[in-house]
Amino acid sequence: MNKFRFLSVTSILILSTFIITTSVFAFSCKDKVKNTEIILATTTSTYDSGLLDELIPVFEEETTYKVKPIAVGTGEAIAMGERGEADVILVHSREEEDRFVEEGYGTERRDVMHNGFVIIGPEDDPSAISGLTAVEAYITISANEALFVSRGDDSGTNKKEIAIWEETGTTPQGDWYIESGQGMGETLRIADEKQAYTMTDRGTYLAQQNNLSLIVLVEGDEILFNPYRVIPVNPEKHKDIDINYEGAQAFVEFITGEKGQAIIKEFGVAEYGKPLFYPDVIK
Amino acid sequence: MEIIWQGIKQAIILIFTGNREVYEILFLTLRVSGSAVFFSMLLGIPVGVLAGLNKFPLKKFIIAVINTGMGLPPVAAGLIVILFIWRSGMLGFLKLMYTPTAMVIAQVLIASPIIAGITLAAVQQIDPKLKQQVLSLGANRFQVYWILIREARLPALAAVMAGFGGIISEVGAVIMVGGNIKGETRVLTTAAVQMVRMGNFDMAIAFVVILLAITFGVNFLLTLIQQKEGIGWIRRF
Amino acid sequence: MDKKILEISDLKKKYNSKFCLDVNNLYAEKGKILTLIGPNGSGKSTLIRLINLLERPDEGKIYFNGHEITNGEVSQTEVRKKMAVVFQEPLLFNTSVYANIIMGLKIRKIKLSGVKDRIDYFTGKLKITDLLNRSTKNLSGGEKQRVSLARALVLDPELLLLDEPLANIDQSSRESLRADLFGVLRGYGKSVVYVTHDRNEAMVLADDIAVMDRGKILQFAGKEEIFRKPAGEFIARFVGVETLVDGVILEREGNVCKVGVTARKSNIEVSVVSQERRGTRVTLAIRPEDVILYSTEISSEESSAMNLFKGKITEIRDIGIFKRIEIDCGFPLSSFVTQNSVNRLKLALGKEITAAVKASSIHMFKR
Repeated sequence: MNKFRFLSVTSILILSTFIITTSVFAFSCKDKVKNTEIILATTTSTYDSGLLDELIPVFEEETTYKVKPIAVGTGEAIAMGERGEADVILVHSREEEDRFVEEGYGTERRDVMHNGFVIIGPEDDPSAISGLTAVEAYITISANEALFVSRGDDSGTNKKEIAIWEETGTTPQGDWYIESGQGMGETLRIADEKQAYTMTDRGTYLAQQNNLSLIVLVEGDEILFNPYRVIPVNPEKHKDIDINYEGAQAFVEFITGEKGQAIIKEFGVAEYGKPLFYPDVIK
Repeated sequence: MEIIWQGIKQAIILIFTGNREVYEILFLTLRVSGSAVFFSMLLGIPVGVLAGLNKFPLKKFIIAVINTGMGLPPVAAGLIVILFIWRSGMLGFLKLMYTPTAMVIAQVLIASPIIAGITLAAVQQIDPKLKQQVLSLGANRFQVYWILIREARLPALAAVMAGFGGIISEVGAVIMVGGNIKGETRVLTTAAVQMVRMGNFDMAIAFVVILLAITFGVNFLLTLIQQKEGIGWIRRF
Repeated sequence: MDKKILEISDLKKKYNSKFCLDVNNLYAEKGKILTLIGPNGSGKSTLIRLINLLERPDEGKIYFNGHEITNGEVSQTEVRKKMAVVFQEPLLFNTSVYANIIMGLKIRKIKLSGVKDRIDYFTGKLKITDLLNRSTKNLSGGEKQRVSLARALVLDPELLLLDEPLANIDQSSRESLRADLFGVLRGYGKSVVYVTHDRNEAMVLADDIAVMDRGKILQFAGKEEIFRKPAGEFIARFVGVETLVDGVILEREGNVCKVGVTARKSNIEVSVVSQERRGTRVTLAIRPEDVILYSTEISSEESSAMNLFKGKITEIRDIGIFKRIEIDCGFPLSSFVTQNSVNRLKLALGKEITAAVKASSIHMFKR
């Protein structure tokens, strides 16, 4: 009796699992058209600016590919490439990119576009960093222990910020140094609420400008140059995984090609008066 | 304050002028969470009923597992699903990562223990003598389960709604396995998050308003059911 | 063809070290009402559950229509479909009254169209026709049990098992429900096992009676026999014998024994109709309704088989319709009389009185 009951319990469990799996298959048929799908791991700064919403539909129309952009920090995007979870990555952290390609995870690095990082802060600029170089500004902020919000999320922006701190020879720590652990948008809003200094890419700043009271204080410094590169993931590194290398190459060709570059050049001009990103291939 | 009123006004305009993006996201949300609840019912109700009505080895253990599952953090559910379905995972060949199906699976993982747990508690509330009565009327095993589920239909319905409410307002797991891809895996919660990130507060508020409307509707129905006097249509099942 | 619809042999079911059901031999005849009677906890309900295969016996066999049903070869469900049970609690489902009544029919896949008359008949007899569309939630306890009874009766079972259906109903509605239920059962003509702890119900309803106590059947016989000839002190008390006195048979003349009873003051001789041998140690059982009271002396010549006891009234107690009179006539003897008799005989505490009991009314069993 007990045995029978237990059997019926398990059999019903198995039956329902079966139902689920089959329906999952049925459900996924639509999603599963062979090798037309490209997973693009990219930074929140490009994603949140809305640039990809302009680029991807045009690319999808020109080719038969379907792009799935996943917005993460540069660090996570590179890690996804290393695991073979992405087919192509669009990131902005030179050193990491170089290591990624040298270790054979990516087949090539191609310049796509750039913009600049800017250091922003309250309008009255209590530490008077306006007009300084980035390194000078950081030294001043650190010396005054003025509130500073860091992404603290291993993103490209975060890496750049840490690189500048390294140049100053000081390690930022203390109550004044806040790590948000969030994307650029949230970090900007935290800085705004706290009337703190922070560093951001210009694109995200421009997109959020209407909601912010912070102003640009440091810009144009060479160290604040923010170049984006696109890297297709090397399928040889992941033989057991179905990496869409052809699709990745097609996307690379598109974004560095005439149409892609033109879209980048135009993007944001209508809204902000100047582009959010500057194309690097066809200027 | 200004921005809130502005946002709500904008939200209402977006909702009632039939903004395509808003509606696409709404329908995807309902499709994903609806099918997740459907599968969670298929899984959760039988498990809850069987575990509640029978004696079998490891019964206490299984109930403990269900109760743990009820409190499963959505992020944990998301992570578990990711480990299986990402490209290098066991089910990587199915290419489920960043699809609505993946979101459904994660939500089933969240909702089915909730449904199973509440159903289990509900059938355990039923007088065990009632089971004897059903048997003595000549019912076979399946008739017994069916009749007792019907007897526990109000709490079971409440279980389903609780499961639905739990997953439709969840953001951590769906963003992990769905990737928040516009037009594909972007649901109300992740859309609201994304719009805040992009500074589109009116859109964000529109999504939140819709989400609130849905969860309010679900909870309102739930309250009606719990105060079940006067719901003739349920009694007639 | 076997006349027994149900037969039980050597059935044992152990619960714990204290309680064990142990039924050697019990059967129910077709078309008759068998009443199981006994105090709470005597195992009556357990026996019903065993018969309905809701529990499995540890040992022994149950035969239904001559076929064993406890050997695991027959489908429990199929057996249950030939019976119907009404438990102490109504155990209704949270739907309409009508849905409850037809639930068994639906489970058994009996076409409703074919049994419409039956449904009408029993709902009418049980006076619930007006309730059919109501929800069971708002019914009174009595109404609920009426629905439960109808649900079982419309199944037209070969064997109807009623497990104290009136026990949990409050007094006021119990009387009317009893009347209606007995009205149904009187013309029913089907086999019924009726469990009760109320001897009056057994008296009214039963063809056969099995008296149970502590898991055992103490006596199983026809109704008359149980009431007239209880097989022991427990049964005697249970079936309403109030006076039990010990004695020894002194002599026997034909059918009549002279029993010597050791009373408080002197020995008393009592005539009892019996075939027992001289010298047997016995207990005499006298039912209060068989004791007739006289306020004046009467001669014993009136009937040779009439015992006359003299004594003082020690207690007069109201027990509903009757008064219970206790007389000290060397041993305590009780009698039921009507209020009318109390007035006529001017009964009062301390009054000297004569009590008469027919020799044939006294039952005697061995100690």
